[in-house]
Amino acid sequence: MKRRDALRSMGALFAAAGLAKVGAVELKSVPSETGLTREMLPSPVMSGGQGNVFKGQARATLTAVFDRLIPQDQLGPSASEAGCVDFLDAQMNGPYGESKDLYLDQPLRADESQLMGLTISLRTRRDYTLAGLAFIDRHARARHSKPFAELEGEQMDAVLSDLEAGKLDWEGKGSSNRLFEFLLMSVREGYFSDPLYGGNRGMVGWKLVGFPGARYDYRQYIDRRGQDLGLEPISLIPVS
Amino acid sequence: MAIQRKKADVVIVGLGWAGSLMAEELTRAGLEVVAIDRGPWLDTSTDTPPAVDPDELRWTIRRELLLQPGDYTLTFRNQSSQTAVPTRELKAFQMGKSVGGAGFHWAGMAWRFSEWDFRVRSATLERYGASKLKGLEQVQDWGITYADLEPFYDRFERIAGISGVAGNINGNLQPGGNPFEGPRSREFPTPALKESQLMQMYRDSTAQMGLHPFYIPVAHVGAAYVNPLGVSMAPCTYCGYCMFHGCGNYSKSSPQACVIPALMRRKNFTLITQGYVTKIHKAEDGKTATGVSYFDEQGREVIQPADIVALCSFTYDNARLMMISQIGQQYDPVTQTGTLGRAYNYQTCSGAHVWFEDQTLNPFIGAGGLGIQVDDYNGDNFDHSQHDFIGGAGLLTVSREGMPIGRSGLLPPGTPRWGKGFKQNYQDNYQNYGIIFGQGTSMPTRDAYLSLDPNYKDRWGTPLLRMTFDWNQNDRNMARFIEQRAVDIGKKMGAKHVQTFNSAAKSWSPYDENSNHTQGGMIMGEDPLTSAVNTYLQSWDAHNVFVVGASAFPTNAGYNPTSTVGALAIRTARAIHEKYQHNPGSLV
Repeated sequence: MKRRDALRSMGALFAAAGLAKVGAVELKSVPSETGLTREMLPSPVMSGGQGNVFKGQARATLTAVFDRLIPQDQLGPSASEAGCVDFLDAQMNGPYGESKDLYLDQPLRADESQLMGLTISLRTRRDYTLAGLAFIDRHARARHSKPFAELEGEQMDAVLSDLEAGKLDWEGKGSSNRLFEFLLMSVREGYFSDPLYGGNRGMVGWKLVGFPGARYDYRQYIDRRGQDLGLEPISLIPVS
Repeated sequence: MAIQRKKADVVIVGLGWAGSLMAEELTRAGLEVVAIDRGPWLDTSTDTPPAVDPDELRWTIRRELLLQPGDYTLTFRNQSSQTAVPTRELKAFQMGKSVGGAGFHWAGMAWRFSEWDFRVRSATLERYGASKLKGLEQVQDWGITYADLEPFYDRFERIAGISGVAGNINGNLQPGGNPFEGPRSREFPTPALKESQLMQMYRDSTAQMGLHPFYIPVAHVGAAYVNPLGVSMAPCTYCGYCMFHGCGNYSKSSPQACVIPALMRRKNFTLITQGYVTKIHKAEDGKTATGVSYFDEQGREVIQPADIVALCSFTYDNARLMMISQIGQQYDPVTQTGTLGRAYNYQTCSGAHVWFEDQTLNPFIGAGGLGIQVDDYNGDNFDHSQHDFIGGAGLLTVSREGMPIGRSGLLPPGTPRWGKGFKQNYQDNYQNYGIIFGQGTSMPTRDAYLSLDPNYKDRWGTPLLRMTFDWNQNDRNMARFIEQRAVDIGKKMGAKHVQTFNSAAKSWSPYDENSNHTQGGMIMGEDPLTSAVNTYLQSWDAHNVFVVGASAFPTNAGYNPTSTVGALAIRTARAIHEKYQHNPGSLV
């Protein structure tokens, strides 16, 4: 098996994963240059998103999928209205989408998925998502002669249910279940993470369940067991 | 040509809990200590303040504080007949990636093991006879007792400011504490925190069942506290952002919060960050080590000579570095000879998710280890004569399940996970969910071990560690029993829905993340034929090499490992400066 790239510096790895700190140094005391650094602060997403990753048909399919997973109803906006498409676009445009954290070296043995008990893919998350959305769209066209985004709601749900049940084969038998779970996880992340990442606009996800957000001290509330505390959520950085 | 550094008295590989506690003891005794950590410097107040820490996506979901498989991973298989494959995505393996190691992002449950846990073999033979150990021939005693370790548990708890309620002080049972715990010399250093509604329900229901609920000892300090090293801590605020997170309150005990501030002020302590240790150098006679090599971030090899080498780098690299450096003999499951990699063990988890009706649990109020446990089904606290297993589990509930991304996946079986009805369902259940978690013992067997992978290498060309592990029948039987006890408790609590889980119901994979508690492979013991290190965690094959961490556990208890790692580290360091440095050689 090939030796891993020895030139891949540790500094670059830490920067990619958000921990670029005081460099490799000999420390005789607490380093004086430490402080709250850019790398430790979260990166907010611009309102409206950048559309860097999901464009055209991919964006239309993703929007349609997300809005079937979390539809608009009397309890609140749909996933895309809450910013979940922008959220995932920003996520996929950075280190997460590039899968810097994953070990994606070859080879991928034929029995690896069986041994690990789930479908293993060596694609980056960005490629995986784009290819997965294209697969969903192809499947819709084959079944209904229409792009996924133009199907009736019930037809979309039927496709998603088949994906969820692992009835569709893409990267091997049953692989559609892992794709479905990935998309479901992604839309939940968007709907319920801090609004500064682009989703959960107006903290609609937190208001839905009564989560108070980025609060850091509940000492005055813990004794009020079993009571509705009526706490308004707060976010790390207010966004409109 | 490698860069040569000045020789140190002791080089410590890895500055997590084990390494920092070792360094504290050794520098206080006047030894010149150099610690090398593969991660960067990271601190509580500057890096995870309240403006950064309460962020579920980044820390709990993306796990940005953890070592990533793209940087370090290991290969895995269930059986020796299979070809191992790499763990590509970080799930069960939850190593730290900075100074402080996993001690920075841990949840904080701070247990002592029970008296039984140190002598599983002897105690089982005494109570049940040899037939009870059929298939468990590799189960062996630790070579030290709970009483031997008690003073060092006490020291760890003082340094970390552990919050708790004593159950047994010098043999006298204490009201409200765990009646099954081993005798402790005094009360915990900080008092219990307040209890949530879920904890109250669990406490009341288990007590009504005749069980013995108690407050879980935890590394979230219960009151303002100054530890023996002069470091002060502040009371926990129940923010709930603990596991996988830092702590911006000086409330969660970590090497950074409790030990490193004192360490960095000592002239005889040096820390090298982002140094990736790849090898221990052996002396020409092959019987001692002369130091270690590491790569700095420019890719240069640096040699750090030392009189004593202490590996404190988590279970996996402790074993891997000994194997790469060929100090000792690799374990062979066919002949059952060799000790490097022998007796890998884990944590056998089962239990139940429960959902109530019309509760207001306010799950966002909590802390990583804020919970209630019963030990009635742990260890050998119940009669196993009629059971087809030994061991058991602590059964607990914990108030830390309030973060909304994770909770959106915890909905009653058969209810909408997406689409129409999802929002209503989640809204109805957010205030109504609880967990009953059985954290169970794990026994070693012939076929569970660590070795070097022949195929996959890291970026320095060094073989990855290979894990061969699957659940043994004893632990599967135990997990099934515990699963049912969790159901009993859930029903008693009035749950409307009970959904069991059992990690041992199928073959294990590192993509299952019930526990990161990973033990053994460099186990301690009294016999050099069946243990890699002696009872002072000193290598049988090189007397100036010490291998410190959960890698030394011959068996695993139904508890979290950290306090036992800390106690063993302090005990080892004390033996080094009190005895070994004056008369280098075997400590036993």
